[in-house]
Amino acid sequence: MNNLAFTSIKDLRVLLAKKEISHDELLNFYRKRFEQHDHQIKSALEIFDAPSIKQRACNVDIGLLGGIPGLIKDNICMKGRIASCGSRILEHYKAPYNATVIDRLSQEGALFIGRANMDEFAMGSSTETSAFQRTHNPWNLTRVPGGSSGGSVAAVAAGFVPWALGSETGGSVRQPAALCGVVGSKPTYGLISRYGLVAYGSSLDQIGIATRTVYDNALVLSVMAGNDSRDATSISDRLLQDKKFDFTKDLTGKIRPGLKIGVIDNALYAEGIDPNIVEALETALKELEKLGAKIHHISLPSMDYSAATYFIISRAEAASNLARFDGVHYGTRSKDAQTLQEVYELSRANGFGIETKVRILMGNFVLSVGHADQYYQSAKSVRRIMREEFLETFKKVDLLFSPVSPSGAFAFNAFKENAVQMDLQDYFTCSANLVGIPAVSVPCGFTDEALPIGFQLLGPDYSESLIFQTLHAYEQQTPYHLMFPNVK
Amino acid sequence: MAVISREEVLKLARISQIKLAEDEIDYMVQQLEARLSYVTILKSILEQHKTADNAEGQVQTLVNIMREDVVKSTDSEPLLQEAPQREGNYFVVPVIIKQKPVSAE
Repeated sequence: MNNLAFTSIKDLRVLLAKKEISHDELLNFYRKRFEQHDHQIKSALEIFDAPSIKQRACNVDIGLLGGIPGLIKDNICMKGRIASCGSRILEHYKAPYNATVIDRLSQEGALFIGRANMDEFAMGSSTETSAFQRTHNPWNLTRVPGGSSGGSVAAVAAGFVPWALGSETGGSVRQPAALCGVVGSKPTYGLISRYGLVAYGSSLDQIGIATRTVYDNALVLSVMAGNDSRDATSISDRLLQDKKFDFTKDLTGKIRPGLKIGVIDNALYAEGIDPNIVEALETALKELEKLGAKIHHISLPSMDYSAATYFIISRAEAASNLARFDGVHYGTRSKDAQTLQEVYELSRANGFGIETKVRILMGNFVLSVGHADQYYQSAKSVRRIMREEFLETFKKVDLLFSPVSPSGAFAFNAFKENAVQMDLQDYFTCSANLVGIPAVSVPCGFTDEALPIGFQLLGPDYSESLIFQTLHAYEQQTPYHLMFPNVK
Repeated sequence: MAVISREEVLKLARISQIKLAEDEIDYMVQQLEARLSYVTILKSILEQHKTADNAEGQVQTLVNIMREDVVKSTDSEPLLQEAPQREGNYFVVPVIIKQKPVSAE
């Protein structure tokens, strides 16, 4: 039965169709996994009771994800459930509506088993800024799972659920996926509706998916992708608007003949990158070459500026988005407040953790009169330079190849004395968010300390099918998606 | 450049409507300083692209989405239920305008 823990969605669907296992058995199995093992991983903030999960389910017999439970990052709204965003200020907040993705997944029979731990308001790269608990890396409990979607990803890696939703602003699904040895995707900006995703950096945010296989990731994305009239930034291209997406159909195990992959040399050979990572990625490149890909070595100079650009834009947008937490409309209110001003200042002081406060203050700094030109406008200009440079590069190569994280999973408090180093965890990932393009990370080996390593492929807007096809072919030639941590 | 004073941090905290505890202020100065120093590297890429048109612009080809302005009624009850303090259909806040005592003449 333990094998079931690491069974893919694809295989679970077969087992369910053949009635070798019932929907109830499957749900109870996963609920039990959490009950028995999550006390060490601490991936979930809450696991729902079985009746309330089933009560919300529909189309479990016919849907693409019929009866298959997933864990939802706690910044995605599920009607009547708490959506805390890992923050005290929303500790008791119950979402009054469903995110569009929740409705779409529901329509295809998916079950929502619980709420995943996360960095407060998705601000972090280790899930340590959660106000509630620290999530542990299933491969090594003394290490972080990465973040901010650390709870979602750790649960998938530990075999508690076959899929989980996270969200990305600067790499928050791909980075933990790399550190936990699973597949993590960040689709094109606008491909998935953000309606019901609590905003952090609105021009960067995109819901992402964690699974153990490429096929499963493509399947869950197929269910969620598409235009949504409730999100003005959702895809409006008429050709794509009403399209029924199926990102699994090109997963043949082969790559497209003549596929050109550009290795971002200034990323792969960046200063400070762990030699274990370089070695594993060079091996992965050889594998892609064996599959028929033409490898080109390129450089994307603007990528070296992506982290700085991201610092400014994400903080600016965070300061604006988090202005809504006022202790009046929803969320917690300070009991000590005597005046309206104190309601604001004390509710926010008590409700937000220190990292969130730093980001809000930095955001207001870069937006303030006298500084906006120097910081915010500069960052916007660089962002545009980056977009142009990436698009220019995609005229020469089909996909780009890059590391995800400069090292394997790090220890708790590793960057306590040097918080900028923690922020630089986004170094290789945030350019995809800034440019708006899709990127998917897959496992490709282990460090000397037996910690997972991943690489990512990036492609032009809406190239998810090509990315998945290539990574699926790679996955079929490698054993990493079949290696699991020993969760006791 | 990019040195930030304690006073500036306190001003930012006021703008951000966050009351900082005493021990948070120094930490905040240090954190903001580190990040603001880091982001100065943007200067060099902007110098390199000086000839290019650096006008701001949307990164992606987003277009305005127009729709008919149709009135839809929404049940406000689920939203009001989330209020920390309410009375009927109102959000309750502390008294903002204090009444002057009426002098008896």
